Amino acid sequence: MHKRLFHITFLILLTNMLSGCVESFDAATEDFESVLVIDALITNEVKHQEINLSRTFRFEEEKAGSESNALVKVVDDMQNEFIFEENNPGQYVSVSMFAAQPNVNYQLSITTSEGSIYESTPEVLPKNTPIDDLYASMETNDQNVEGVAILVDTYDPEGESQYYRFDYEETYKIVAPFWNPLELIIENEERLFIRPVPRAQEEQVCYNTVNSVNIILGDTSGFSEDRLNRFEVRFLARDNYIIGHRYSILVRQYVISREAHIYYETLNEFSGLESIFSENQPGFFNGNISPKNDSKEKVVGFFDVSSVDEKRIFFDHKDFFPEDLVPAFPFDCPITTPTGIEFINGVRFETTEYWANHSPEDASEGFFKVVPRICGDCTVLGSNIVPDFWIE
Amino acid sequence: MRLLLTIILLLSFKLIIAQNDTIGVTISFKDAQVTDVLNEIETLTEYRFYYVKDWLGTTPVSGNYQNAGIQDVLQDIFNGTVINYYILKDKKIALNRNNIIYDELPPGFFGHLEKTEEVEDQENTIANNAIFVDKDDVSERNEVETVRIGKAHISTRNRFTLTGYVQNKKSGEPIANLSIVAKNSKIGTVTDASGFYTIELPSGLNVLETSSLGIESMRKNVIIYNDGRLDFLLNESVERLEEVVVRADIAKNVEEVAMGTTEISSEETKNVPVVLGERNILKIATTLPGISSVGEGATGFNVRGGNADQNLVIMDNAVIYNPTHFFGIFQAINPFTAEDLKIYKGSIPAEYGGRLSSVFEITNKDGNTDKFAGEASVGPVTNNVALEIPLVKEKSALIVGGRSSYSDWILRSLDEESLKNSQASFYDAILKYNHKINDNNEIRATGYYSRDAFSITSDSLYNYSNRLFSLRWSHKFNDQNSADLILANSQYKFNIDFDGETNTDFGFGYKVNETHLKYRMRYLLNEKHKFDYGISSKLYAVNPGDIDPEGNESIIEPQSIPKERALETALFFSDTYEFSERLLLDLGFRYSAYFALGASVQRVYEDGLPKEEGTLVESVEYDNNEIIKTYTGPEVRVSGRYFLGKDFSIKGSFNSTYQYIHTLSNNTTVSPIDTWKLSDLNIEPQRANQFSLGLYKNFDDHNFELSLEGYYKRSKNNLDFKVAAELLLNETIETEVLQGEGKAYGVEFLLKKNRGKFNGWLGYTYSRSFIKLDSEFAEELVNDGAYFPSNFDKPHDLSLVANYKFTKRFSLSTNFVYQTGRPVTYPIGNYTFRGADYAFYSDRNKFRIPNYYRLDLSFNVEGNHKLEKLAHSFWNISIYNVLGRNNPYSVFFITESGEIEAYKSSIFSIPIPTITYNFKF
Repeated sequence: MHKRLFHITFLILLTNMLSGCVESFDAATEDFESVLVIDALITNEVKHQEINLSRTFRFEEEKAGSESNALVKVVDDMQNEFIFEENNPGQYVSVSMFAAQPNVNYQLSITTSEGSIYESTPEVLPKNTPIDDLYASMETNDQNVEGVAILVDTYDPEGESQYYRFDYEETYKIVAPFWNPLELIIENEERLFIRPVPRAQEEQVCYNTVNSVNIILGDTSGFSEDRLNRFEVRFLARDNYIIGHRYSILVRQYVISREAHIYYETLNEFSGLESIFSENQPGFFNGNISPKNDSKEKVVGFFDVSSVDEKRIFFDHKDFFPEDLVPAFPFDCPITTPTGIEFINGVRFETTEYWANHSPEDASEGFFKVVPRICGDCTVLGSNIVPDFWIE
Repeated sequence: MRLLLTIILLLSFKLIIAQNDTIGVTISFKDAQVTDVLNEIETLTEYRFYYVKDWLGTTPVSGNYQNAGIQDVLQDIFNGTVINYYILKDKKIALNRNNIIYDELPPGFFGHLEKTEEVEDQENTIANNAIFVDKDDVSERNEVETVRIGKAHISTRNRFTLTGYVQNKKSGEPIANLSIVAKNSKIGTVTDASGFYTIELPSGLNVLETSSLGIESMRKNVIIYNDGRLDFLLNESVERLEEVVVRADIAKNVEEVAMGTTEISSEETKNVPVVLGERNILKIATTLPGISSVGEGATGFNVRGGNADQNLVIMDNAVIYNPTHFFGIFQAINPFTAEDLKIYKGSIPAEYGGRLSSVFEITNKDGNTDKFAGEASVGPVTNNVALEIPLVKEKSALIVGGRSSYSDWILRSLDEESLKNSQASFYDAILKYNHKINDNNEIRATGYYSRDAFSITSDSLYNYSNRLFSLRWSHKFNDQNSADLILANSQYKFNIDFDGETNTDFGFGYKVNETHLKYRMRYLLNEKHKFDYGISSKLYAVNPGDIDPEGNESIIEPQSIPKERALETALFFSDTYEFSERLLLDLGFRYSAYFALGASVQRVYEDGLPKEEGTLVESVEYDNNEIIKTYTGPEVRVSGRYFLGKDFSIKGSFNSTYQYIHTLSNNTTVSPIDTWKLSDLNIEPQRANQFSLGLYKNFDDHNFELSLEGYYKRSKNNLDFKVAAELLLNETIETEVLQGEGKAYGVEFLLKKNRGKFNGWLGYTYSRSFIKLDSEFAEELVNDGAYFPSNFDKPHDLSLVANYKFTKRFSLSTNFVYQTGRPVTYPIGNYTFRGADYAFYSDRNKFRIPNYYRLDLSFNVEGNHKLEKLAHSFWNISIYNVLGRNNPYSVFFITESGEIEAYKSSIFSIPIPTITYNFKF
C-alpha cells in the first residue's frame, strides 16, 4: 500500500508549470540481451491452465518471440505432475484440467530446448476471498473528470488475504451511427452496376470485448482490517463512447501472495508515470523463478498461484446521465457523394457504406450519399454476435 | 635611515600632526629662508630636521612664537607649500615633499579615518593619531598614506604582529572576509567574521592593500618596528557592479594553505542570470569546478564525485538538511541576509566532520548596529524583505528576513486544466542577533525556519520544513587565545497527508533532529604556529516514520518505526605551521567516535549471507542510552602550500572523512521525501580518503587567478539499495541496503578575472565517479560487481560566467554551461507479460542522456548612486535558457494500454524571461 500512495506521480503537471516538456521518442535498442520470460498463472478454477514462454525483444521488433519446445510442468508436494503441452508457439496448456488446491505446494519447472532448467520456489494457493460487491458509481476523479467508476468492495474477516490483484474483461455495445438497412453491392462486375440492397448480416449493433492489460493491485496490509472499500478497478469518462449505450464488465479478483504482490508492484513502479524530480532507479528484479544451470543468468517472470473470484455488472449510459446525448462517436463521419472510380472502389473494397440516395446537381456528384464504413457498419469495431452472457 | 624615511615619505602625502612629545618653542623670524629657520630651531631646541634642501624653495617666511608647539610653528612655515613633516621619536623631524602627481589629481577625498596605536612600549610611543580631511564624498581613487608602528630599534625579531579591526565607515558594521595583503612580502590575511585580523609582517616598510567586494580598496604604507594595532574604516565601493562573484581576498588563491575552497558572496551573485529571477547562490556554486548537480530539477549537490548526502550544509554553525525550495530549483536561503557561502571540497578543516565530500558554510550578515537598513525585492516567484535593526548603538543589532512564494497564485491563474488541483508554495524566515558585549566578548544567535508545501493531485499534500537555531559566544582571552562556544539545533521533517475518496486517509511523518555543542579554541603560539583545537559533540534523534489514520472512517493501521538515537563526538586539532616563507603547512587531525544508542531492537543476521528474513539469527534489545555499537576513526586533514615563485604556488592535501548519517533514497536524484538513517549495528559508517594536488598562479596584480587542481578519492560503505527497495515504514531497512565502494578522480581548471569592466570566470572539470556493488549473491550484485558510473558522473563540465559593465549603471551578465549527459539506466529490450509490454532493465547507468548546454543572459540596471536617494534600486532582466535548448533531464519508459512508450522529459525547455526589482533603503 505504502509504495503506491507514496509514489509521487506528477510528472506532467509540474512539467507544465515549469515550462518544461515531456515528449515521446522512438527508443533504440542498445546492448540487447535475450532473456527467457515466464508468464505463469494457475488458479483454483478447474480448467486447462496456461503458461506462456517468450523472450525479451528489441524495440525495433513488433512482438516477442516465443520460446518453443520447452518441457513445462507443475509439480505439487504429493509428487503429482501436471504436464503442459505447447498449443501455439510459446503457449503451453496443461494436458489435463486441474485446479490449484489449498494447502498444497506447487512448483514450476521448465527445461528449454537448449537444456536450461528453471525452477520456481514452491507456491501455495492463498485463501479464496470472494468479491463482496462490484458496482458502478458516478464519480469525479483526481483530474476533475466526471464519469463512472467501477468499484469493488472486498472483506476478509480473518485478515489473511491482504494482497489482491484485479483484472477485467469489458464488453460494450456499439451502435453504428450512420447505419442504414441497405448496403451497396456491385451487381454486375462487367457493367459495373451498383445498387442498394438489404444488408446480408447484422451491422447495426455489435459488441466488443476487451481485456485489461494493466496490473491493478489492492493491498490492505497497512489497514486495521482486511477490507477494500470502494476500490477503483476502472474509471470511464462520461464522454467515453464505449459506455455510450450498454456496458458490461467482468471483474476478476485474485488473492495473491506477498511475493507476487511485490513483484507486480515493482513492475508497475518501473512502467508507470514517473515523478520528474524523483526518478526511481530501475534495474533487474527477480521473480520467484531462478535458473538452475547458471546462477547469474537472468530470467524474467513470476509463477503465480492465486485464488480467483469474479463478478459481472451491466449498466447503460442513461442510468447515470439520463439527460446526456449519446457520447460523440470518436471517428469522423463525413457524408460524401463520390463518383467514378472513387465511388466504385469504395464499394468494391468496402470502405464506404450507403447512407441515402442523392440527386446530383452536376457531374462532380454521384447518385448516392455514402459514409466511411466505420460509421455505418459496426462489425469494424466489434462482433455482431451477442455474447452468451449479455443481458439487455 | 634617512634614505629609507625619504622613500617612505615620498609615498605619503598628507599632514600628520603629532600630539604629544612637544617642547615649547620661542622664536621670531621675518622674511627668513626656511632652512635658516629650521637651523635656528635646531639650535634652540633638541629637534633635529631631516630633509633635502632643494625641497624647501626660497620663499621667505615670517613668524613670531612664544613657547609655541613645534607643530604650530611648522604648520605656519609650510602652509601653502607641498612639504609635509613628521615628528619622529627622539625629537627628530622628517620633512617630505608631496607627491607631485597628487597636485594633478582631481580633488579627491580621503575617506579613511584611522588610528594606530602602540601596543607595547608605551613610554616611547609616538602615536600617530593622524586625522585626515574627510569630505564624505566618494572617490574612486585611493591615495597612499603611511602609518608607523613602533620605532626602528635593534631587535632580535624581524617580524611583528599587526592586529586590528575593520569597519564599514558608513554603517559601522565590521567587514568580514576583507583581504589584507602585504604586497612586497606576499603575506596576506583575511578579516574574520567580526572584522578582526592579524597579520605578521617583516620589519620595516610594508605596503598593505585591502580588498573586498563592495568595499573600496585601500593601500597603506606601514612601517612596522613593533607589534601594534591598525584599524581601518573603509568606504563602500560604488563599483559594486563591477564584479559578478569574486573571492573577497585577492591573493587567497595562491596563498592560503587550504585547497579546493571556494567562496561566493551572496550580494555579488545578483547579476548572474538565474531562473525566474530567484538569486541562487547554491546554483552558482555549481558553475565552479568540482560541484555539480544531477540536473536542473535535482535537489542536492555532488561534490567531487560524492553523493548528495555527503555534504555538510551549515548555516551560522547549524546544519540545514535541505537548503532548497521546490525540488532544488530555488535556494532556501535569503539572499539579502546571507553574507556568503564558503565551500570546502578539498581540504576540510579539522573542526568539521560527519560528511564525506564537502562543507557548505553559509554565513549570514551581522546586523548594522548604527543605522536602520533594509532591502526588498519583487520577483515573479517570491517577494522578499530583509531589515537590519540596530538595537543598542554600536553594540547590538537584529537582522530579520522573510521570503514567501506566490506560486500558488501563479498555478491557479494558469488556464491549465491539469493544474487546477496542484499547489506549491514555500516560505523561509530568518532572524539573527549580534551583540558585542565588549572587545573580548561577542554573541550571535540565529533562528531560521523554512517550509515547502506542494500537492499535485487533490488527495495528497506534501510538506517539508527545516528549523534551526544556533548560538555562538566568541570570547577573546588575550591576544593569543580566543574561543568560540557554539550551541546549535537543527530539525528537518516532512509530512504527507493523504485525503482521498476512500477510507484510507492517513498522515505520514518523518523527522530528524540534531543538537550540536562545540567548543573551538584558537591559540596563536607564535608567528610559526597557530593552533585550532576543540571538541564537538552531536546528539541525533531520528523518527524514521509514523503513519496515522486521518478521520474517523480511516481504516489505516497506525504504525510507528522506533526512534533512532546516536551521539557523534569528535576531538579536533590543527596546527597552521609556517615552516618557512615558502612552505606553509596545515596539520589537522580529527578523531571521531560514534555511539548508536538505545532504546532499540537490532537484528543480527548470519555472517556472510545477505541480510534478509531467512538469515535472521536473533533480535537484540537495547535499553535507553545503552550503546548499541561504537564506531571510531581517525581523520587526517593535512595540507601544504609551497611558493614556487611570485604569486605562484603548489599545494597538496590529504583528507580523510567519516560519515555516520545517510540518506535513504532509491531515486536517481534526491527527493524531499528521502529520509536520513543513522548508522547502527548493520549499517556501517561511510569513509573516504581524498588526495589532491594543485597549482595556483595569479597574474596582473591578482586580477587574474588561475588554478589547476587534481584529486583522487576512494570511499567505502557508500549506501545503495536493492532494486525497488521499500524504504519508507520499513523496520528492517538493512535488508534493502547495499554498501559499496566509490572511486572518483578529476582535474579542475579555473580562470578568474576579478576586476575591470569585463570580469567573471571560466571553469572546466574533467572528472569521473564510479561505484561498485559487489557480492557473492545475485540479489546484492549490481552490474556484475564491476565499477559503474554513478548517477552524477558527467566527465566534461564547462561553465562560463561573464559580466560586462557598460557604465556604472548598466551591465550585462551571461552564464554558459556545457555538461556531458548524465548516465541513466536504459532498458536493453522489452518483454510481454500478462498481455502488456514492459521495458527490460538490466545493468545500471550504461546509457547517457544527450549532453547538456544552456546559455543565460541578464541585463542589470542599477539605480543611480546619489547618496541622498531614499532607496537604492536595482533591476534585473534575465532570460534563462536563451537558446531554448530542450535539455533532456531524464528518459523513462511507460507501459500505456499494454504498449511501451519511451519519453524524455526536460525541465526548462524554452527561454524563460524574468524581471525582478530590488531596492535597498
